Amino acid sequence: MASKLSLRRQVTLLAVALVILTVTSLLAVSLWKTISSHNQQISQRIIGAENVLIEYLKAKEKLLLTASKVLTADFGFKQAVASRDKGTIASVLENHGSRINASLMMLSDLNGQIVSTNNSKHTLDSALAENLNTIKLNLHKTQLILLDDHLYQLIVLPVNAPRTIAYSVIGFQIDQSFVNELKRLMAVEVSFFYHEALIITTLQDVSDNQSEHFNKMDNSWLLFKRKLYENKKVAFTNANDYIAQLSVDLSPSYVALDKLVSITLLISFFIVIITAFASGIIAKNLTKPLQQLTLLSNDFAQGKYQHNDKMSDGSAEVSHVYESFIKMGRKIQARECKINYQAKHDSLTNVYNRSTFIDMLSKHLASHNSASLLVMAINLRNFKRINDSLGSDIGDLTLKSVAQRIKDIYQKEMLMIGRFSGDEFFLAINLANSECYQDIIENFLMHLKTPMQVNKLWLNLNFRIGGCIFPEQSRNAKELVRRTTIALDAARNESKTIRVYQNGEDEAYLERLNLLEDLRAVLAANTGELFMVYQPKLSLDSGKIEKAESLIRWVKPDGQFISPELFIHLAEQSGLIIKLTHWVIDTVLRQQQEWRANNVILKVAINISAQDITHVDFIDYIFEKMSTYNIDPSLITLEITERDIMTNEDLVVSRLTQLKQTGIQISVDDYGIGQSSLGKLKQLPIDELKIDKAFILELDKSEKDQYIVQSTIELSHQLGLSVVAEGVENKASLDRLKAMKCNHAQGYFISRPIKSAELLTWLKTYE
Amino acid sequence: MGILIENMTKKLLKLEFMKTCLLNTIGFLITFLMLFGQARAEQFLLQDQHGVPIKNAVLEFSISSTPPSGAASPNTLIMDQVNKRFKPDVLVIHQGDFVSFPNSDNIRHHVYSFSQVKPFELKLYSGKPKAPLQFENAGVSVLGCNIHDAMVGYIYIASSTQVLMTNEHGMATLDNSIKFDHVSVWHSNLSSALTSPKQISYENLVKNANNATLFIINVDLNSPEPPNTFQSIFKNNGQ
Repeated sequence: MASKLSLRRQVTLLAVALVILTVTSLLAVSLWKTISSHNQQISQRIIGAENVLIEYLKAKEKLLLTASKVLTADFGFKQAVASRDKGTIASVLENHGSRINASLMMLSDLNGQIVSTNNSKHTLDSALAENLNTIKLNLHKTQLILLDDHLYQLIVLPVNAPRTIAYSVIGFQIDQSFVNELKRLMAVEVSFFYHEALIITTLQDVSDNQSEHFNKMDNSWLLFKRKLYENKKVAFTNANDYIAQLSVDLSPSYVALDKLVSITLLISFFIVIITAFASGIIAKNLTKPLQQLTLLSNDFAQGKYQHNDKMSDGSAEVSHVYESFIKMGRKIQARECKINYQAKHDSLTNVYNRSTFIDMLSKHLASHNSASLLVMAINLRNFKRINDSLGSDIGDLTLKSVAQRIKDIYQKEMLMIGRFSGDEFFLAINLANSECYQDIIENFLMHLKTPMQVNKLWLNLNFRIGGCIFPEQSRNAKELVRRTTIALDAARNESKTIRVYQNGEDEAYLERLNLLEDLRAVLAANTGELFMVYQPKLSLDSGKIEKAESLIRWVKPDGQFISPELFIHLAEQSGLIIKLTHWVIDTVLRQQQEWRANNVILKVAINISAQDITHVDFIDYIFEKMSTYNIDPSLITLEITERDIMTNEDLVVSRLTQLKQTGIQISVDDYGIGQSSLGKLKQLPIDELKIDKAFILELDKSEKDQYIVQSTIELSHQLGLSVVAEGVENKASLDRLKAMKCNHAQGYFISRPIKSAELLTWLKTYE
Repeated sequence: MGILIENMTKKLLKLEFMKTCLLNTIGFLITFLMLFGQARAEQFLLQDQHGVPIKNAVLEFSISSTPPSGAASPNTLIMDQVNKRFKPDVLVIHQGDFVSFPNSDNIRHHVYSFSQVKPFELKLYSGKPKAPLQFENAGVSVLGCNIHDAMVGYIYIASSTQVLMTNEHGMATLDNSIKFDHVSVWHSNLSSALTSPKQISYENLVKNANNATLFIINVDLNSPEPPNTFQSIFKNNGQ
């Protein structure tokens, strides 16, 4: 949650919270201190007031006592009392009363009956008599008493003559002036209670609920109720019914306190506002650079690295961060350039890689639509050999030197150079005249071929060059590159050093690619588009058909016949040949199983490529299929060309040896047209030679062919090999072969390759 | 009257002696003497509510029979003032007797009485005796001194001829021969009014269970009036 708040808000909140905390605690402490000192003050006031009250009452008491003693000790008074001389008694009472300004002067007999009083109201009051009887129990004691709803402080002394003959009662009424005087002295309110009922008070506005009044609460503070009065009850010894209550009116101090609180709150409020404002400004100063930094990093993300070195404003720290950002941006930029460069260039020769070359070319074509271009693919021939013989360091140096040389030759016209693979460079040059490209290429090659010094070695390098012209041969960069590649491939296939793209080659190439896809699909689906045909081999010794060569055919559903040479070549190039050969082996072996069911036993030759024989699964697969279809190994002949044997001679020979040992026969196909080596012939684990049809087709007419075939047959027989002649197309040739003691003959004269069913029929008629 | 009292005192002393003898001898002697004592006198023991013997209590017997002697001539008795006290505290006189107030102190006394029976006041100076006062009416005269408030004395003016005052053991002895209807008991601290004695009829007198001649009279007394001290109901300052 907190992390989602903006920094600015956090700073503001923090500052405001701190201020509020400070103010609150200060306010709380000052309130607490104020209130407690106030309370202390109040309690001290009350203590003082209580002392004053007691002293005042004591003073009054002393006065009463003195007056009373003087009165009761007066002999004349005693005499008057003893003789019940009412007139004298009244005058004496009045005389003494006026001396101390007493409000009550009474004389009561021993039974509490009033003999004389200065207040005529009391004379017949029976309640008063009762009161006086109780008073008598507390002789010599000053006391508070309620008479006729008026409170008196009075003292009762006996009139002794010498035994008690009457009681004198002298008292002060605790009236309004009395309490007001008390209030003046004590500076607190005072009230007197009898049995918790209010008798008199200095408070002005005490209404009906008298004792309630002192417990009233102030609720101007909504939550807290406060006492309106601080009360202290003062009890008197032996007069528990009477209570003097001292009350301090707290409302003035509440007003002062409230004022203090409200002023503090007001000031706090202003401080909070100022703080919020100020912290807002500070936070803004802090966050504005952050926003700038955010913009900066966004720019970096978008690859914009050009910014001012210094920040226009902001604190030192932020400027520091800004500078770091700028530095970081620079470094990122440098690294990015480097990575970009590495991504676009060949790390060894520092020329464009394939994709960059195509990109740049396409950009160039887009901007320079009209100018003619020559794109060349340059292949350094036998680079592998240089690498192998001189080491990869020299190889690398050679590549660098070649790249440099390519750059140097047509410096003026050169557009771009790229290295696409180990030994393949691409070059685009401007062409002033599209007609003369052949000369340009030749001239280029001539310069390129001149001996090159690499690390103190002089190397004579050979190249092949494929070329393609813009805009005549293609207007598209990708296509240009592809067609140049096709031209280079064609040069390689045709063993030419220079080959220019010829119109239509690309389409054929694409067609071949499509064909390959179709073949892949057909193999997977096994829909019958692919099928095997068999060409019988006539045994010249026995005149019987003992063998046949299996040949694959592909007829598309629309009837289009696909040349086996074409699709097998494609399959070999793409590696699909492994699957194709597996399919062939499976089909042929199954066919043999079927034939055996029809009592036809034929040895079948299967053509395999070098890729097949070197594949790890080949031998396992063929054995698995032999056991699946229960085919004897002697019924299987594998035909492989000399060229394929030579491709990976050691491995092929070891595999062939292995196969031969199991009883499978090995036949060398197309013998005589390749790099036929007699030396090899004696080493190879083979059973049969198959003389290429080039020598057989016109055997009857060509004496040379007859010599070759004759000697080959003889040589083979000497080496213990059986010989097959293929391409027998007439009887004369067949007769000659028979004469030459050739073992088997194969050709259209005997039968063209036919399907299995046809073959079975053919076999019956032939026999 | 004073002689009578002296005789009574002698008798009492004798009685005391005999009591001692009684305590010292045993058996027959006890019975005999007690029977003998019973034949001679009736004894009264005054106790207050706490069982404490009351001294200076006056027992006045109302006699149903004619008085044995005719109207005796009035006597003069002495109520002296010694060391700021009346001596005796209680003086019992008969109606019509005179009381002389000598002043044995060398200070002045101002003896007065506001009692109804005989209000008077005498300013007494040492060595200057005043004429005795005659108390014609029966009752109690409370004596005070205007100069010395603490001085209180009583003169009991009896209307009956038979009047006794208890000794310090609370005992009073009446001749057995005297018959009475009822007895008035007075004491200065009697809880009822100062001047009205307590009347007890003969029948209501309670005799001691062990001693047939001993009457025990229980009387409620007030505690003595407190000294004129002052007590504040207000707390002392600072307490």
